[in-house]
Amino acid sequence: MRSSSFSGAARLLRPAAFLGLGLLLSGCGPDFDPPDQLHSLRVLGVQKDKPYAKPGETVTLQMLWEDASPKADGRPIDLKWTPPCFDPAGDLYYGCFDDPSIFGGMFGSGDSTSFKMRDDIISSRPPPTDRRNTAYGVAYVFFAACAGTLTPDPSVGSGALPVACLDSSGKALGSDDFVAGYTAVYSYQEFGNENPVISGFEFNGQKLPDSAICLGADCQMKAEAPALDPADPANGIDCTTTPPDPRCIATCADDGKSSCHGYGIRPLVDRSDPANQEQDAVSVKQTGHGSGEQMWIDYYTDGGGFKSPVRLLNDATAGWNDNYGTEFYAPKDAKISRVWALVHDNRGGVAWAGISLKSQ
Amino acid sequence: MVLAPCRVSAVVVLAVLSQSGLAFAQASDTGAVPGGSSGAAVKPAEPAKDAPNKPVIVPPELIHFEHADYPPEALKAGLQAELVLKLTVDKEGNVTKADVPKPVGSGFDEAAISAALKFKYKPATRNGQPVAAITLYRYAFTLTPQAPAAAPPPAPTTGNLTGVVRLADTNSPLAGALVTLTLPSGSAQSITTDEAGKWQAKDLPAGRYKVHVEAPGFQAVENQEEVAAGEETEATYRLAPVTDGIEITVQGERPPREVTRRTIERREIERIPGTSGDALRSLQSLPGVARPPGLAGLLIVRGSSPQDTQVYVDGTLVPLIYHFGGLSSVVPTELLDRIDFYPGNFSAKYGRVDGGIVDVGLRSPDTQCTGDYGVATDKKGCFHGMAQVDLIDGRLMLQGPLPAKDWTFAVAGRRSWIDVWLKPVLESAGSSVTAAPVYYDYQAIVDHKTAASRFSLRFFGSDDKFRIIVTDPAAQDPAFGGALSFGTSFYRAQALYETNLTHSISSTSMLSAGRDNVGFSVGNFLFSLDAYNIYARHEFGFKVAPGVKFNAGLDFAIAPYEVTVRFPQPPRPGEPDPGPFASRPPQESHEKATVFRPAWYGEAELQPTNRLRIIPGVRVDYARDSGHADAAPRAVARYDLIKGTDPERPDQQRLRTTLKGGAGLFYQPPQFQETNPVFGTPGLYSNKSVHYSLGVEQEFSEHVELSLEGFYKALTNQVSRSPNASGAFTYNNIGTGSVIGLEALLKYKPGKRFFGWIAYTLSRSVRRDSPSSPEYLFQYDQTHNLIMLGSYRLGRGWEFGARFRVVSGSLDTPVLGSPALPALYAADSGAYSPLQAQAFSKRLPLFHQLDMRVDKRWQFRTWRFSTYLDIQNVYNNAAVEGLSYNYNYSKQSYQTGIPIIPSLGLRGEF
Repeated sequence: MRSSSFSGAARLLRPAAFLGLGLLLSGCGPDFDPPDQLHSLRVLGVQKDKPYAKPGETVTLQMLWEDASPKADGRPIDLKWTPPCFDPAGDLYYGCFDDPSIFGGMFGSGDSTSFKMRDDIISSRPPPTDRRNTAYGVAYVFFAACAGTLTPDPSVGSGALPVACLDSSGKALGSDDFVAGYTAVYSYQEFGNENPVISGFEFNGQKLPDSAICLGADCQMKAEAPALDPADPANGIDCTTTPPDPRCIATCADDGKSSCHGYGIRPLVDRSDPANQEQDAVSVKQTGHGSGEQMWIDYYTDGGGFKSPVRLLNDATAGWNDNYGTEFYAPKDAKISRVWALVHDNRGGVAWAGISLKSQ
Repeated sequence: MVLAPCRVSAVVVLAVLSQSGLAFAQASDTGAVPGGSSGAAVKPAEPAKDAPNKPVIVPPELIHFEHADYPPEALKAGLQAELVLKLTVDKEGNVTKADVPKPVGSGFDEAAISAALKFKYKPATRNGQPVAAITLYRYAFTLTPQAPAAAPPPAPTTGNLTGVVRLADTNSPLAGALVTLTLPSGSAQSITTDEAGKWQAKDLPAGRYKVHVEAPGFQAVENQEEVAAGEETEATYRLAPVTDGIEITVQGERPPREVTRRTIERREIERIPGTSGDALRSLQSLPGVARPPGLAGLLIVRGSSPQDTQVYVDGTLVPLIYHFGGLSSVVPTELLDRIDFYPGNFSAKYGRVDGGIVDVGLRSPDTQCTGDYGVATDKKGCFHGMAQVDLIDGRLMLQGPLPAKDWTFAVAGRRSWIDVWLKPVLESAGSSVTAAPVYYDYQAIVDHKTAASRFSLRFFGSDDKFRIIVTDPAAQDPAFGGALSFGTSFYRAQALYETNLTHSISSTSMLSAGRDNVGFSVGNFLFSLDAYNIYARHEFGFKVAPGVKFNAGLDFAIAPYEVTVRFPQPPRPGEPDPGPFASRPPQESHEKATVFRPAWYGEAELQPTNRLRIIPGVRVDYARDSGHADAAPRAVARYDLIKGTDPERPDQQRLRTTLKGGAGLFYQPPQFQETNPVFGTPGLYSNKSVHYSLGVEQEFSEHVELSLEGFYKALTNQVSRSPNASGAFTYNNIGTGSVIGLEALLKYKPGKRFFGWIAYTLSRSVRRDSPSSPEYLFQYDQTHNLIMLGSYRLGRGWEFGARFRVVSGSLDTPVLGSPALPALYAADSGAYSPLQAQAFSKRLPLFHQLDMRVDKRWQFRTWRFSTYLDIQNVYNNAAVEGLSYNYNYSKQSYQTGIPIIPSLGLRGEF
């Protein structure tokens, strides 16, 4: 086998060493708004019904988004998708920027779209040089959410997304009103992947009734998710009952800071569910032994805050982390706060659930 | 600390040292002087040029005297004469050269030279190691008076021995010094010097006396003096202050083979503020070395990448130099004999790299004895120990003699104790700590040293490891969570043998075997390397004629290794951010092979005149893994416009002016991931560069020297890459670049109280990925780097130092600004991917920082205790180390570096 050098290989340890150092010596930086606290138009996740798709299969994508901007107030959001970008150079998303057929105005619309994986997505590529690596293909699908009008913008410079979000006066909107992103759908001939499964939600030590929880597409803002619609008293949260609804919490003057009382919160993820205990087949083939998925949970809210916005659910080698929940800190205002938990795996799978909390 | 490159030959250096106030007295009792009643006068040599911080020097001792024939013409004419001989004594004690700087004529010069060439000396020693030396010898030719006709008075049987003791650096008389005279019979007499530093011993029986002079706080000296009946012998001794250790510099037999070699003395290493006494960290205060970000221990030399500079321990490559990337060196300062740093244009002895070279030499165990209160002596056979603790680690060292003659040993070890305080910190942050961060290193040395050779066995190594489970992954890239383990370890068993096979052939051999073990994993990503390294070096030196020496050597590296990598394809510097690693499928490469990289080199050291030195050389490297061979010719030259020693007046020093320059070809093989079939492109050629440099060195005084050097590096065949349509990357050798710069070093060499320097580097480093792509500033480009530092001994064991640095800000790659979106949401990982502007196009603000250090030492009768307080960033400057962004890169701010950090250390030694 031809390789460079042991000394060159040894040099590879330097970045690792510096990573270690970085853990020991954290730098000093400003405190920005935490990513888990929603104050603008945000896309939180894109779920594919087939995180790993075989050639020729149709993949449906569902977006979870929220307009938490103070300017929201029912303003229309333009949601669009691009056609898939198959096997870009280097398998890198920015390899698609130069393809005019991707961003040339062929946008689907709405929070869901689907596409068909190309039949030769794998066969058109050269086989892997190492037999332990599995042949694959990849398709990128770009999406955008805009509080104005989305339009192609080929005039942007190199490395920029050739799409603009314009308000009614033609002025380009910024990051608070315009989110663009991508999702990658990998295609293996022999492997598939299931999205994680969320079976419920637990708040402050109590399992919430199914009626208080939204799952998947039901959580979308525009969807008719009764438990999450604060404007509907019939499905709202009644804090006058005895015992009180566990979703009723006290406001906190420190507005979601860690000095507030922490309410335990977590989605219920059954580790015995096969979808939550999948093997990372690509790694298994590479290593020859079992290797689980790397799984984590992203927590979001539009009111209050969390002790830890990202929690480990399963480690590929160390296994399941039972303590995957976090603590919720109440907002200072009396309001209905929406809370989401997105369970990710490292192979493009995701599932989400949401609840509402009433602070008073 | 930066020393000007050592450009004087070993002989000259030892000449200076040998003139440090030691008198070489000889007397002749009969024969050599007609009349048979007179002897050689006793006169001291000239004062030492610079005695502080020098090791214990023992001058050559005359053990065989040869009488000179009285010149017949002079005898006939009744002439007498007195002359001074300048003798060159080699390591074997032979007089290889004898000159009379001030000829007296009448055949006296020739007669004295003829006799002196037959003298035999016990060679001079430097810390016990035989070295060549120049010594002065005063030879008197006197006529013996005619025998009286009457009965002669009784011949005298005693003589007087008198002298004066002075300070080596100021020549001031030293009162209170204890002078001890010892006869061969063992009887001794002690005298204390008076206020004028004088002492005298009268009516001593004729014979040879050992004279030992000592004074608290000064290095003792010892010499042999001859007392002749009826004569008074005078001697002057000059004592140098006790120093903290030996000078870490190469001054032995090896002459310079590079344009620039910067050497740091031990006192400088231990006292440079902001380094906590760490040897290799002190390199970052030298010109040509860029300031690395934060506390990182990177060596960024003349606009090159850190991986372009290699670190050796006595010729053996070591895979890392700092624990945990920068906390402290893997070889403790206490075991270092020298640090040679070559910022470029280095000797053909070194290769496989086109940046710089750091060659660290382990010291021979120190068995030199000290008297009460640390007074140095030239006695050997004593043990020394040291214990030190600071906020990061604790260390122990013991060294001393072994029962067998000429064998010595040293053992040392160090263990960090950051785990004690870091584990609770990590656990409070929500991590489960399986193995708290810890490092240790160890060294063992067994040395056998004689006048003709040195044989040394070493075993040294290092181990860093920690393992935690991060249950709060980073929101920016959740892949970096979960089980995170990191471990690096290496060890080396090394044998070193140096000898002179003949008077003109020297041999140096090094063989080492060891193991590197590197492991890093996070989640399902993994890097694992296990390599068994064998390094072999051998060099012959042939002195074929005066001023002509050839060096020929080999440098072999053999390494069976096994490496496993499971990572997504990483980006190269300057490439757009590929997005979070979290959801990208890893690529795996498992490789088990043997690297074999032999190299051969040859150099000629030519000295056509005593001012000019030219060293052409060539190195041929072969890499079996790539199948490529590289031939690299190199040449350097130095020319003394003004020599430090006037050939006409060798006893006087002058301010040296030296021009220097060089050009050479250097190759560096591609890195592992660049030629790996999975991650790279097999068959790549080596990176190629041509180094040019031109400079001048000018002494302004005994202590002050300025060095200016301009350099230019032309980089071609640089490994570059671009993504291809098949989803992989294609590497190539079409990258180019250049580095141009100027280095200035104004240095005050360590004196009795002060050392310091001002170092300035101006440079520009650029790269171009392909002929058609734009040129851009290299990631580690640093336009200005100004360092001012100094340390002053206040007395009573106190020393105070400060370092101030002003450096151009680092380069950063900014994200795109409005109206373009600064980032895309990578939905699969729940994090954003920045959309970046031109790579390294933003210069961060100027860096400036003041570091201060205070040392206090208490000297007790049998041991010494010292403590230091080293404060980094005294005025708490919020230096900008990078840009930080909010979650979607729409807001940015400066990431600032370390705040004020005090570090306290305690040390005891005997």
